[in-house]
Amino acid sequence: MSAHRLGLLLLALVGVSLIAGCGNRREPDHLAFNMGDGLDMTKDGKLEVSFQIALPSGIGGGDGTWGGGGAAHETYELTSAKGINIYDAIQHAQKELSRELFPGHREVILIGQPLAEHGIAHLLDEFVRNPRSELRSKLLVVKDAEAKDVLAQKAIFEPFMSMGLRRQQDILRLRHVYFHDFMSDTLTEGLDPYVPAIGLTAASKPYYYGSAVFNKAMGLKTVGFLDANETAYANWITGKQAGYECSLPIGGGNGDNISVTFNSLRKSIRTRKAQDRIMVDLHLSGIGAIVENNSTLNPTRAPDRRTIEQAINRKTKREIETLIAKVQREYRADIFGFGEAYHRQHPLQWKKVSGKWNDRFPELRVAVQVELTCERNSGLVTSPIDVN
Amino acid sequence: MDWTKLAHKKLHKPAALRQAEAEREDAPLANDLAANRRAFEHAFRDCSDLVFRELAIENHTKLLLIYIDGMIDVELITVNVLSPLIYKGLPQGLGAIDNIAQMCEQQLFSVLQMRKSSNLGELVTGILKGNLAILADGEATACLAGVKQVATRGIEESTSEPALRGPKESFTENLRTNTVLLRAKFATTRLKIEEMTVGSLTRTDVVIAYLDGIVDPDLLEEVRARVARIQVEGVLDSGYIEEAIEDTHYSPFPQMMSSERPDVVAAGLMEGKVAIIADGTPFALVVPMTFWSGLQAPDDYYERFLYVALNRSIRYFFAAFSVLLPSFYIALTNFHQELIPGKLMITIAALRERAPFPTVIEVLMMEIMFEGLREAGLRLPKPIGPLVSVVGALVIGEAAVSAGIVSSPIVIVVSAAGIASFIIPRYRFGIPLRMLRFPLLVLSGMFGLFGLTTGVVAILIHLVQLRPFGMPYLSPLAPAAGQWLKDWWIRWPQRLTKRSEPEPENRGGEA
Repeated sequence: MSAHRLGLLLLALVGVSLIAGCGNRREPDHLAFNMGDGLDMTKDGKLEVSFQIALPSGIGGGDGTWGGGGAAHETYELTSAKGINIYDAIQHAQKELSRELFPGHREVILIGQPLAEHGIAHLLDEFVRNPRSELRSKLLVVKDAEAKDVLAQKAIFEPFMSMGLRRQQDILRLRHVYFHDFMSDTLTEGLDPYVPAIGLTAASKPYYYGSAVFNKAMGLKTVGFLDANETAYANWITGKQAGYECSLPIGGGNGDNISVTFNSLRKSIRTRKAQDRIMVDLHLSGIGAIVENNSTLNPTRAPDRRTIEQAINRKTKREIETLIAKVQREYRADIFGFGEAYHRQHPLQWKKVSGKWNDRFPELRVAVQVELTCERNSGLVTSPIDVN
Repeated sequence: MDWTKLAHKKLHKPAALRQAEAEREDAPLANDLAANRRAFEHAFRDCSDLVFRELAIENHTKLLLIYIDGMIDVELITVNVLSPLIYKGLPQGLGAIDNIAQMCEQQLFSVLQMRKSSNLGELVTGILKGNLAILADGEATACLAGVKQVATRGIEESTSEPALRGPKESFTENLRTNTVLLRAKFATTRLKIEEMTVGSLTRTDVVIAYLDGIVDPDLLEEVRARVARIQVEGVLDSGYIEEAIEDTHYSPFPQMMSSERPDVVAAGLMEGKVAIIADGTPFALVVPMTFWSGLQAPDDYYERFLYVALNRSIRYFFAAFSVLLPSFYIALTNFHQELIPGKLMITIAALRERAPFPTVIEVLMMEIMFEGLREAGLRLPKPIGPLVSVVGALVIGEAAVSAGIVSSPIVIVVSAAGIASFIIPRYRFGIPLRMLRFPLLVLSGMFGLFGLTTGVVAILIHLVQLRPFGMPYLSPLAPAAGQWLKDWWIRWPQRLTKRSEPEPENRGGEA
């Protein structure tokens, strides 16, 4: 028994000493929660990383006794540091901070346009290798501005911009824009990544611009941007978007117009080889509801509905063809995943083209077929409102 | 240590006393009444509650009644023993009564239990157990009339195991009342109630109850053997017996269930368990116990099965919750901050800004404070009880936080875990769960989730190898026992659970 007691006592002593000393135990108040990273390239070509750090005492919780009554507190701190790579920059930033930088709750990773156009192939490793790093951060490219300019802005609702940007992505019904999705797209054969892009308005307010196209063959650098509408089409083709809104003038030239919102978007990509060329049959479909109708067309009548659907299909098809042609010719990056589809559907033939897909992609013949239907009516109104 | 020394000393009584007791065990009665009286007076010297009542019948036969004041039914003696002897004299027409033994045999006293003895030791024990001894002059045999009546509590509602639905009665301190409560539930001769005596000083009657044909004979034999082996001076509660017969002292988990509800004991018997009921305590022991029976309430079998499914799920969840929550909180906030949703993490960090102690120390402090409060509330006289909870809630909940000594999430965590441990229907089964919190706290404070997992695995290993009375503690879950699993989490309706019926030949004795 005494041996038992001695053992217990020793165990307790070891326990107490370890509690007091503690190896990798870190109290939450010893951490600097890094909510957003901004990656920029300085004018002299160096990497600059900005960290948006949440200030817990400013964001609150509890009755705000800490710091005393009523006054608005700072909710975040923006720290920037230069370095030859990400880790180096973190080490430099850490020198200014009394708490350990903790990337486990990082909401967004922003990349400034200059850096994005320079190429980010050499910046990915740290994000994946660091076990504390949050791979569900959303990756965004900042168009015509630096990442830290965006992070420095005050968010309207959220305590800081990182959280606001993340929320916005959710509102836009965008899917698969996490950092690990970007990594997965990057590492998939026959697919080039494109990520959401934001711009700054004249009043320096960030807004959703569209997306930035990365070309893997050119060192994972941004080769161009797609606007919001083009991005919606691209997302539709890649299955990254749940819904799509479409507004268009309809009927005569008397200002008639109609807006339709589409849900349950579907796509199918069939690839085949015809004589030495790879053909792609792209079939896009979706079911929509009319959300605004300022025309004389009555969608409850079949002929009118067909008129609306045809107009929408025609417009969508034309725009998608334009988009595909632009991406093929200008960006030469297969963001639509045609290569991946070819890889899956013709694994043996893929081997012949696998190494040089970025050269084959512009030569693809893509046949687009759009089949949108307005089956649902939205709201109480079914027929057009007749003012007269 | 001191206590064991003291007990040790007690066992070594003066040799003379021991010898006198041993001699008395076998001493026969004398023929002479005066000598017998002296013998009893010697045995019971300094016992002011012993009453000697001498009387003469028809002026020649001298009788001596000996009993302990307050332990016998005075009215019964007056009406059924004294009045026939004194006023009516010996019954006429029966011929001469030669001796008192004959009187017993001829059933001249209208008392239900009657036996005779000529052994001084047996008579002394009989008197101590509440019998009336009747001695006659010139005879070496005496009668013992069972007229025991001890002041006792009535049958009241169970205070330690309240149930919303089901029988409200509970055991009392009187063994006979308790066996009656049990017997009243089974109108079958298969309910066996074996009696044993435990304790060299208290000579407490202990009964072993079981249902013949359902009980496992090996288990029964084991219980008999263990109870017979008990060497103690006194048994004041069934806890003495529990401690004497439990498999191991070094386990936080109770190895037998103690209940003051006859229906719980009866249900245990029907599951083939053995009940041990000691005189002088309302708490019966049911062996063997499993882990899950500690989490099951009597209502579970009286209420509709869907309600029970909900209640049990809640209970099982909170049982795990009460053990793991504080250490889980520490592991997450101190080691794995990325596992907490971002906003919550910042809130927790904000609330910790002022906290002077590490989280582990905070939780330990509050846990100890909570246990103190619990113990204080338990021991205090009822009128003061609420005061403790008010002061405790104010001191711990409010003041400590606003003074900045502990952070408020800790209060939430500790009190939530504390409340969770009170959800366990058997109060004493919540104690091991609360105890185990502390080692888990230390482990998770040292090694995070890894330490916590190690601790939980260690507990599981202990539970799996714990086999009170040969029954695996985690059964029917581990080892999985098919049919009985239907009463493990969700108590399926009786119609859906076909329990193995006992063999037909064992049912012969049924009325």
